[in-house]
Amino acid sequence: MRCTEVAERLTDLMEGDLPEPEEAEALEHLASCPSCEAVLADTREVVELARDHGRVSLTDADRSAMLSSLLGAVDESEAR
Amino acid sequence: MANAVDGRFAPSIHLRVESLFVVHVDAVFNVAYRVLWNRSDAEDVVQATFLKAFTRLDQLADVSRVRPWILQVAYRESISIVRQRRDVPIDPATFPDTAALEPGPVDLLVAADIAKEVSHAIGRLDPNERMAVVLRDVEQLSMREVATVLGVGLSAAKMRVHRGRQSLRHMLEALEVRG
Repeated sequence: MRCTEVAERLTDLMEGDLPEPEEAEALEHLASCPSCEAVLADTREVVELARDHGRVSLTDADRSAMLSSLLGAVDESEAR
Repeated sequence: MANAVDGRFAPSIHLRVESLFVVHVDAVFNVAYRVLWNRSDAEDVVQATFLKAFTRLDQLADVSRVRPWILQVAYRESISIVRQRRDVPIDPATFPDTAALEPGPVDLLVAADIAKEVSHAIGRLDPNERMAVVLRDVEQLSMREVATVLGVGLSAAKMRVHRGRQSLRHMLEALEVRG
Protein backbone atom coordinates (compact mmCIF):
# COMPACT_ATOMS: atom_id res chain seq x y z
CA MET A 1 0.00 0.00 0.00
CA ARG A 2 1.27 3.49 -0.86
CA CYS A 3 1.24 6.64 1.29
CA THR A 4 -1.75 8.18 -0.53
CA GLU A 5 -3.75 4.98 -0.11
CA VAL A 6 -3.00 4.90 3.61
CA ALA A 7 -3.97 8.58 3.93
CA GLU A 8 -7.32 7.87 2.26
CA ARG A 9 -7.97 5.02 4.67
CA LEU A 10 -6.85 6.76 7.86
CA THR A 11 -10.33 7.35 9.26
CA ASP A 12 -11.49 3.83 8.48
CA LEU A 13 -8.34 2.52 10.13
CA MET A 14 -8.92 4.63 13.24
CA GLU A 15 -12.56 3.53 13.35
CA GLY A 16 -11.61 -0.13 13.00
CA ASP A 17 -13.64 -0.28 9.80
CA LEU A 18 -10.98 -1.46 7.36
CA PRO A 19 -11.49 -5.00 6.07
CA GLU A 20 -8.81 -7.40 7.28
CA PRO A 21 -6.52 -7.55 4.22
CA GLU A 22 -6.47 -3.75 3.87
CA GLU A 23 -5.92 -3.21 7.58
CA ALA A 24 -2.90 -5.51 7.56
CA GLU A 25 -1.49 -3.75 4.48
CA ALA A 26 -2.02 -0.33 6.04
CA LEU A 27 -0.39 -1.36 9.31
CA GLU A 28 2.51 -2.89 7.43
CA HIS A 29 3.02 0.37 5.54
CA LEU A 30 2.75 2.44 8.73
CA ALA A 31 5.38 0.29 10.43
CA SER A 32 7.89 1.17 7.74
CA CYS A 33 6.86 4.76 6.89
CA PRO A 34 7.71 7.36 9.55
CA SER A 35 5.88 10.05 7.61
CA CYS A 36 2.53 8.19 7.54
CA GLU A 37 3.04 7.03 11.11
CA ALA A 38 3.48 10.68 12.14
CA VAL A 39 0.29 11.69 10.32
CA LEU A 40 -1.64 8.95 12.13
CA ALA A 41 -0.18 9.94 15.52
CA ASP A 42 -0.89 13.62 14.88
CA THR A 43 -4.45 12.87 13.79
CA ARG A 44 -5.01 10.87 16.97
CA GLU A 45 -3.68 13.81 18.95
CA VAL A 46 -6.04 16.18 17.12
CA VAL A 47 -8.97 13.91 17.99
CA GLU A 48 -7.94 14.04 21.66
CA LEU A 49 -7.58 17.83 21.56
CA ALA A 50 -11.03 18.20 20.03
CA ARG A 51 -12.50 15.85 22.63
CA ASP A 52 -10.81 17.64 25.52
CA HIS A 53 -11.10 21.26 24.37
CA GLY A 54 -13.73 21.42 21.64
CA ARG A 55 -16.76 22.13 23.77
CA VAL A 56 -18.09 25.62 24.31
CA SER A 57 -17.97 26.24 28.03
CA LEU A 58 -21.13 26.80 30.03
CA THR A 59 -21.24 27.97 33.63
CA ASP A 60 -23.65 26.68 36.25
CA ALA A 61 -25.34 30.08 36.05
CA ASP A 62 -25.83 29.63 32.27
CA ARG A 63 -27.34 26.19 32.78
CA SER A 64 -29.52 27.35 35.64
CA ALA A 65 -30.91 30.29 33.65
CA MET A 66 -31.63 28.09 30.64
CA LEU A 67 -33.32 25.44 32.80
CA SER A 68 -35.46 28.02 34.54
CA SER A 69 -36.55 29.44 31.20
CA LEU A 70 -37.21 25.95 29.83
CA LEU A 71 -39.35 24.92 32.81
CA GLY A 72 -41.37 28.10 32.43
CA ALA A 73 -41.99 27.21 28.80
CA VAL A 74 -42.93 23.67 29.81
CA ASP A 75 -45.48 25.06 32.25
CA GLU A 76 -46.91 27.30 29.55
CA SER A 77 -47.11 24.38 27.18
CA GLU A 78 -48.86 22.27 29.81
CA ALA A 79 -51.32 25.04 30.64
CA ARG A 80 -52.54 25.27 27.06
CA MET B 1 -28.81 24.39 39.42
CA ALA B 2 -32.24 25.89 39.81
CA ASN B 3 -34.77 23.99 41.79
CA ALA B 4 -37.11 22.58 39.23
CA VAL B 5 -39.77 21.60 41.70
CA ASP B 6 -41.71 24.79 42.30
CA GLY B 7 -45.13 23.24 42.67
CA ARG B 8 -46.73 24.87 39.65
CA PHE B 9 -47.14 21.52 37.92
CA ALA B 10 -46.61 17.91 38.74
CA PRO B 11 -43.04 17.59 40.00
CA SER B 12 -42.55 14.48 37.94
CA ILE B 13 -42.76 16.47 34.71
CA HIS B 14 -40.23 19.03 35.88
CA LEU B 15 -37.95 16.34 37.20
CA ARG B 16 -38.12 14.38 33.96
CA VAL B 17 -37.37 17.46 31.89
CA GLU B 18 -34.59 18.49 34.24
CA SER B 19 -32.98 15.05 34.19
CA LEU B 20 -32.92 15.13 30.40
CA PHE B 21 -31.64 18.71 30.42
CA VAL B 22 -28.81 18.07 32.86
CA VAL B 23 -27.43 15.19 30.82
CA HIS B 24 -27.64 16.78 27.38
CA VAL B 25 -27.60 20.57 27.71
CA ASP B 26 -23.86 21.01 27.15
CA ALA B 27 -23.90 18.92 23.98
CA VAL B 28 -27.05 20.62 22.65
CA PHE B 29 -25.64 24.07 23.34
CA ASN B 30 -22.31 23.12 21.76
CA VAL B 31 -23.93 21.89 18.55
CA ALA B 32 -26.15 24.97 18.32
CA TYR B 33 -23.31 27.35 19.05
CA ARG B 34 -21.03 25.71 16.49
CA VAL B 35 -23.65 26.42 13.84
CA LEU B 36 -24.86 29.84 14.99
CA TRP B 37 -21.84 31.43 16.75
CA ASN B 38 -24.18 33.36 18.99
CA ARG B 39 -24.94 32.46 22.59
CA SER B 40 -28.40 33.99 22.62
CA ASP B 41 -29.47 32.10 19.49
CA ALA B 42 -27.89 28.91 20.84
CA GLU B 43 -29.90 29.33 24.05
CA ASP B 44 -33.07 29.65 21.97
CA VAL B 45 -32.17 26.40 20.24
CA VAL B 46 -31.60 24.75 23.61
CA GLN B 47 -35.10 25.71 24.69
CA ALA B 48 -36.74 24.67 21.42
CA THR B 49 -34.86 21.37 21.45
CA PHE B 50 -35.80 20.41 24.99
CA LEU B 51 -39.39 21.52 24.50
CA LYS B 52 -39.59 19.17 21.55
CA ALA B 53 -37.96 16.46 23.60
CA PHE B 54 -40.42 17.15 26.41
CA THR B 55 -43.33 16.38 24.11
CA ARG B 56 -41.67 13.08 23.16
CA LEU B 57 -40.52 11.96 26.61
CA ASP B 58 -42.47 8.73 26.37
CA GLN B 59 -40.89 7.89 23.01
CA LEU B 60 -37.40 8.44 24.32
CA ALA B 61 -37.30 5.46 26.63
CA ASP B 62 -34.28 3.96 24.91
CA VAL B 63 -31.49 5.96 26.57
CA SER B 64 -28.91 5.04 23.96
CA ARG B 65 -30.97 6.73 21.25
CA VAL B 66 -31.64 9.96 23.13
CA ARG B 67 -28.31 11.69 22.47
CA PRO B 68 -28.33 11.38 18.65
CA TRP B 69 -32.04 12.18 18.51
CA ILE B 70 -31.73 15.30 20.61
CA LEU B 71 -28.62 16.51 18.76
CA GLN B 72 -30.37 15.99 15.45
CA VAL B 73 -33.21 18.21 16.68
CA ALA B 74 -30.70 20.83 17.86
CA TYR B 75 -28.79 20.71 14.57
CA ARG B 76 -31.94 21.07 12.48
CA GLU B 77 -33.24 23.91 14.64
CA SER B 78 -29.90 25.68 14.26
CA ILE B 79 -29.76 25.20 10.50
CA SER B 80 -33.31 26.48 10.28
CA ILE B 81 -32.28 29.70 12.04
CA VAL B 82 -29.29 30.12 9.72
CA ARG B 83 -31.56 29.74 6.71
CA GLN B 84 -34.07 32.23 8.08
CA ARG B 85 -31.45 34.78 9.05
CA ARG B 86 -28.55 35.41 6.77
CA ASP B 87 -26.98 37.86 9.22
CA VAL B 88 -25.53 35.19 11.49
CA PRO B 89 -21.85 36.05 12.05
CA ILE B 90 -19.54 33.51 10.54
CA ASP B 91 -16.20 35.25 10.90
CA PRO B 92 -14.12 33.19 13.36
CA ALA B 93 -12.08 36.29 14.17
CA THR B 94 -15.18 37.69 15.87
CA PHE B 95 -15.84 34.62 17.99
CA PRO B 96 -15.99 35.28 21.70
CA ASP B 97 -13.60 33.40 23.95
CA THR B 98 -15.39 30.08 24.13
CA ALA B 99 -12.83 28.51 26.38
CA ALA B 100 -12.98 30.77 29.41
CA LEU B 101 -11.82 28.86 32.45
CA GLU B 102 -11.66 29.81 36.09
CA PRO B 103 -8.36 31.53 36.94
CA GLY B 104 -5.93 29.00 38.30
CA PRO B 105 -2.38 27.71 38.27
CA VAL B 106 -0.08 28.16 35.32
CA ASP B 107 -0.97 24.77 33.85
CA LEU B 108 -4.61 25.79 33.73
CA LEU B 109 -3.70 29.00 31.91
CA VAL B 110 -1.79 26.94 29.37
CA ALA B 111 -4.80 24.66 29.04
CA ALA B 112 -7.00 27.70 28.44
CA ASP B 113 -4.71 28.87 25.64
CA ILE B 114 -4.82 25.45 24.02
CA ALA B 115 -8.59 25.27 24.43
CA LYS B 116 -8.95 28.68 22.81
CA GLU B 117 -6.80 27.71 19.83
CA VAL B 118 -8.59 24.39 19.37
CA SER B 119 -11.97 26.09 19.62
CA HIS B 120 -11.01 28.73 17.06
CA ALA B 121 -9.53 26.12 14.72
CA ILE B 122 -12.80 24.17 14.87
CA GLY B 123 -14.55 27.43 14.02
CA ARG B 124 -12.47 27.85 10.89
CA LEU B 125 -13.48 24.47 9.48
CA ASP B 126 -15.88 24.17 6.58
CA PRO B 127 -19.37 24.11 8.22
CA ASN B 128 -20.16 20.55 7.15
CA GLU B 129 -16.79 19.24 8.26
CA ARG B 130 -17.00 21.26 11.46
CA MET B 131 -20.28 19.70 12.53
CA ALA B 132 -19.04 16.21 11.66
CA VAL B 133 -15.96 16.72 13.85
CA VAL B 134 -18.03 18.26 16.65
CA LEU B 135 -20.43 15.31 16.65
CA ARG B 136 -17.80 12.57 16.30
CA ASP B 137 -14.81 13.88 18.24
CA VAL B 138 -16.26 16.41 20.68
CA GLU B 139 -19.64 14.84 21.43
CA GLN B 140 -18.37 11.30 20.87
CA LEU B 141 -21.24 10.02 18.75
CA SER B 142 -20.59 6.91 16.71
CA MET B 143 -19.94 7.46 13.00
CA ARG B 144 -23.35 5.97 12.24
CA GLU B 145 -25.01 8.41 14.66
CA VAL B 146 -23.10 11.29 13.05
CA ALA B 147 -24.51 10.24 9.69
CA THR B 148 -28.02 10.12 11.15
CA VAL B 149 -27.77 13.56 12.77
CA LEU B 150 -26.38 15.12 9.59
CA GLY B 151 -28.88 13.31 7.40
CA VAL B 152 -26.18 11.87 5.14
CA GLY B 153 -24.87 8.41 4.36
CA LEU B 154 -22.16 6.72 6.39
CA SER B 155 -19.51 7.25 3.71
CA ALA B 156 -20.27 10.97 3.49
CA ALA B 157 -20.12 11.30 7.27
CA LYS B 158 -16.75 9.54 7.37
CA MET B 159 -15.42 11.77 4.59
CA ARG B 160 -16.49 14.91 6.44
CA VAL B 161 -14.88 13.71 9.66
CA HIS B 162 -11.74 12.73 7.78
CA ARG B 163 -11.39 16.07 6.02
CA GLY B 164 -12.25 18.00 9.15
CA ARG B 165 -9.62 16.17 11.20
CA GLN B 166 -6.95 16.71 8.57
CA SER B 167 -7.81 20.42 8.27
CA LEU B 168 -7.64 20.70 12.05
CA ARG B 169 -4.31 18.89 12.05
CA HIS B 170 -2.85 21.38 9.57
CA MET B 171 -4.23 24.39 11.45
CA LEU B 172 -3.05 23.23 14.86
CA GLU B 173 0.30 22.22 13.41
CA ALA B 174 0.74 25.77 12.11
CA LEU B 175 -0.13 27.12 15.55
CA GLU B 176 2.16 24.59 17.22
CA VAL B 177 -0.63 23.62 19.61
CA ARG B 178 -0.01 19.92 19.23
CA GLY B 179 2.77 18.18 21.06
